[in-house]
Amino acid sequence: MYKRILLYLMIVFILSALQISLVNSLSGIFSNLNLILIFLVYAVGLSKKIFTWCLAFGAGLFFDLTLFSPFGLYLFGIVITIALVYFLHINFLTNQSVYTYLVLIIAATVTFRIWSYLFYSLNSFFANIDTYIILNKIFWFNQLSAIFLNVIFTAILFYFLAFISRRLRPVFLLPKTR
Amino acid sequence: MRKKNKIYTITAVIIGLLIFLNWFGLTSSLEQVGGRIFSPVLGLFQSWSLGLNSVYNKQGNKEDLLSELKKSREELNKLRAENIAFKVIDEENQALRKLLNFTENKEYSYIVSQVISRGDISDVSGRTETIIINRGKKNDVVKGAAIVDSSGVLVGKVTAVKDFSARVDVLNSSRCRLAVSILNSDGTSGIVMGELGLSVVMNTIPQDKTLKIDDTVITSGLEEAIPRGLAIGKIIAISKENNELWQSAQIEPFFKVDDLLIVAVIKQ
Repeated sequence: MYKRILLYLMIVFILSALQISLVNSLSGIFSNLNLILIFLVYAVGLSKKIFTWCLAFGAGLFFDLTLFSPFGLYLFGIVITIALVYFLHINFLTNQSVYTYLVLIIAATVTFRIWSYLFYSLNSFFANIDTYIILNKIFWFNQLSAIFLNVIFTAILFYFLAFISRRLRPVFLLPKTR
Repeated sequence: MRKKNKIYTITAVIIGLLIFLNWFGLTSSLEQVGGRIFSPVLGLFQSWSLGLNSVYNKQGNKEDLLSELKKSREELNKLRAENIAFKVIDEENQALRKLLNFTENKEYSYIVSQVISRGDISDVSGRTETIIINRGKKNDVVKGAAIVDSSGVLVGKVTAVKDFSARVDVLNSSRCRLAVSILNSDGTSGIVMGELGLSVVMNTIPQDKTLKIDDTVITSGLEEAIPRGLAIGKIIAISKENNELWQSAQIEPFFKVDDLLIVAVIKQ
């Protein structure tokens, strides 16, 4: 079990590094892709809860130690997001279809973005820092593009995983067997 | 239910404990280990992103390239002529300094570093106001130090430092404020700062000073850690109202954040 956790942690660290250095620096809307959330959403559906919890924790810690945001932003943000994704998956979306994962990634992206917005607003209020978030067309386009990109990437990954494994099914209903 | 709550409680306690330890700087050893292991990996991924961006930008700007090339050639010829004139002035200046036994300027050295990240994952605004470099306290990088790109153009200022990394606020960030001058006969001074993360504005310029579009803005040397003469950008718009105390100018920086890979920290 520990070997598996270590292996998953290594994957999550590499993905976090990719997110920070590569994805974040891409031009246009591509920087809005969130590899970690996509990976964790699949971990929620496919692996044990303790693994997913460790991965969320590892990713949050990696971001908090590497980046310069107030410590705890990512630890709390990712853990809260994954807790919500778990809640949705267990109570409302119990199958392994593509729709399940698409709903989960939308929920995760929106939750993480709202958390970031709240955290930044509170932090700038208490630390007396000027931060500006202009709620104009560009802002909303940015939010929608983040959801859109994550959904597209999740769907592509789903069909790839469904192709190489039998644990995922691309539809809701199973064909009737006689 | 009990087991579920136990996991949540343990997680909350561990996160709380980590925040508490970080408050007292006790997580720095973790940061050091992480910084040493992941710094080369982050640098490698960053160089990949530059490659991908250049491919993306080439596809998007094919039509503009020819007109851009023509414009650049004209500008290059103009700069060559200016450069010759400056070299003559520089020689004269050196000779006069010697004659007057003028005190030598302060010596500066450079710490070459690599950009390992741009922007912030949690930034919902989608603007790039910060970069992270792979040099920190252990490499003598201090808060407030100036950062220049490979051609010597000022990029921004160090605003936070860790052991093996530092955060740089680039010119369009509202946290980056610099004392500057304009290269004109008046030697007009003012303060450059980022506005909403979108543009760079020079403020507190007296009303009686004459500004021109395309005038070059440089650092004034009034800040201790930042030498005079670092190029910042050129004026692209002037805002002058008779009922205002000051006039302001919009500046176009000489660098693009997307092109930054190697930068240098100026060390006194």
